[in-house]
Amino acid sequence: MEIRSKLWHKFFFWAIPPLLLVLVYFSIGFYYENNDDVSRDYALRNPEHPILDFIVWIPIISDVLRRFYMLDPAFPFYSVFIYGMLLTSIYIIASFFFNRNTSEYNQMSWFFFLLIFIGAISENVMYLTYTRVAIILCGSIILKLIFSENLSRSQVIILGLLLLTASFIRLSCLNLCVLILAPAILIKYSQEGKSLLFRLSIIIAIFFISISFQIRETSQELDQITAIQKIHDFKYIDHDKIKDERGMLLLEAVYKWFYADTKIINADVLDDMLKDYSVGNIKADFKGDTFYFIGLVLRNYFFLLFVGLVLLIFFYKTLPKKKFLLLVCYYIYFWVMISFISLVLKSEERIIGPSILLFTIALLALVDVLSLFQWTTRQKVFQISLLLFLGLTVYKIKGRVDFNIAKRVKNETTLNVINDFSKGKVIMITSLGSHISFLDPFMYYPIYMGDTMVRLSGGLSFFT
Amino acid sequence: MIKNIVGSESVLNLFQKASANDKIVLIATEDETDFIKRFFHFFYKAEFQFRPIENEKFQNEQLKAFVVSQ
Repeated sequence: MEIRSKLWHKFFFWAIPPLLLVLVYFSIGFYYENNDDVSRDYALRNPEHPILDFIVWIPIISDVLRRFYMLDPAFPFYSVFIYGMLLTSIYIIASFFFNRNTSEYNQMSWFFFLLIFIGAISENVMYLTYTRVAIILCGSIILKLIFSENLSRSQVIILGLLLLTASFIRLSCLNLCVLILAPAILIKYSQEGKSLLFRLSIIIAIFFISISFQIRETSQELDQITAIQKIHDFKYIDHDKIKDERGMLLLEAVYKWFYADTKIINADVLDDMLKDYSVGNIKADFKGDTFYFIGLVLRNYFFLLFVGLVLLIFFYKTLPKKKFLLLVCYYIYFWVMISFISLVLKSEERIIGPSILLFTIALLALVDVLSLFQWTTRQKVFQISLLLFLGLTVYKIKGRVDFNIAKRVKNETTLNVINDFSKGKVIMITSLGSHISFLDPFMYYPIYMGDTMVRLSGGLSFFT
Repeated sequence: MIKNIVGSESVLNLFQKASANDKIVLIATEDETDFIKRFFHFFYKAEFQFRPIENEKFQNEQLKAFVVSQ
């Protein structure tokens, strides 16, 4: 009976994550969150003039994907790769809910996992964005390496190689994950000591490999990255202070779609401008940005905030005072750090959302899950509140899906008109980026990315 | 600089090429073409004209198709 139960448990463990992805695809849909991924995807597909060189993306991945696209340009290899990586991270997250439990709590574990999936992971499944996937995968692998008790050396090395691949999706995401998880790693290290040394050395080695790639990337494109950062600074200039035509045109160009022009993407030109209209490190509109950040978190991540609150109360009730205070420091550290990142670097939902998810998973990894389950089953108020927040999350998701579908229908109509119109002509488009977001990553759209492609603000201009 | 991102031509080159070839058509909003005119006039002393064609095609996005000339 016990063996049969274990077999069922294994079957559910391997079957449910992909089943959840399929369910999300058919119930709420998958969407390109913005034009970055769809542009990369179709630039790699281009039969005659593929583009393999993208900023913050290691060319090895482009080379591999390109080889697959040569077999069949219409098959969605990019989406399969990204969702494959996401599925791996979901398996790893799921493993935190099951490995440490007795079979008695299996049903409860599945229930909690489904709650976290619907309330927090589903958003990252719905939107295909390489940044989200890189953060969740890098973070979940680090947590697995640190917190999983029964890993053989070969499993550690496989996870290490996977972490390296995940970091190649977007190098800076590994830095962010290390920042988010550093206190959790330290807490675990203080408990386990030397037994973690081998795993830690693997993570540190990969971190330095990733840093070396970042240094090389930065040295090649330093001027460009500096200029792009300065372009962001322009948005914090007090518009009324700009009186001359040149300044007004540059500012308008930054806001519009003229990123790519050498007059604008030239760090010296921007430097001259910024000398006249200086922008502080913490941007000029600090108050507005702070309110925006708080609103964004409360509006979109109330479910994870509530889970974090429940965990804090659980820590208070069950842990010794010293350990509880240590975890309070972790809470403070995380929220100060993510606020700072959001305010200074203008991070978006695709960075803030996965970061809060990762922090919550780290807290769950620090907990004795069995006693958490036993404790929460006695707290009726928390259970009801959790279901209430889950209901609100479902309502929020429904609103997003309605918006996404409306945008997709509009964009597909525009693309069809453009495709129909472009026959026998060469087309130059200023804002195609805004017309290719929200498309279905598993459908083939006949978007031809020509050999000439110039990146513009909010989109790409290219010939068909 | 541009080729470091993607592609290999400057925006000015694109528009110069478009103005020399009737088959190259720009799809943009009126607001954008107005800005392009002012931008190239100020920074490059280049005068571009945009003649709309097939107005009705892209009305759902306020886009229009233009032939570019200098």
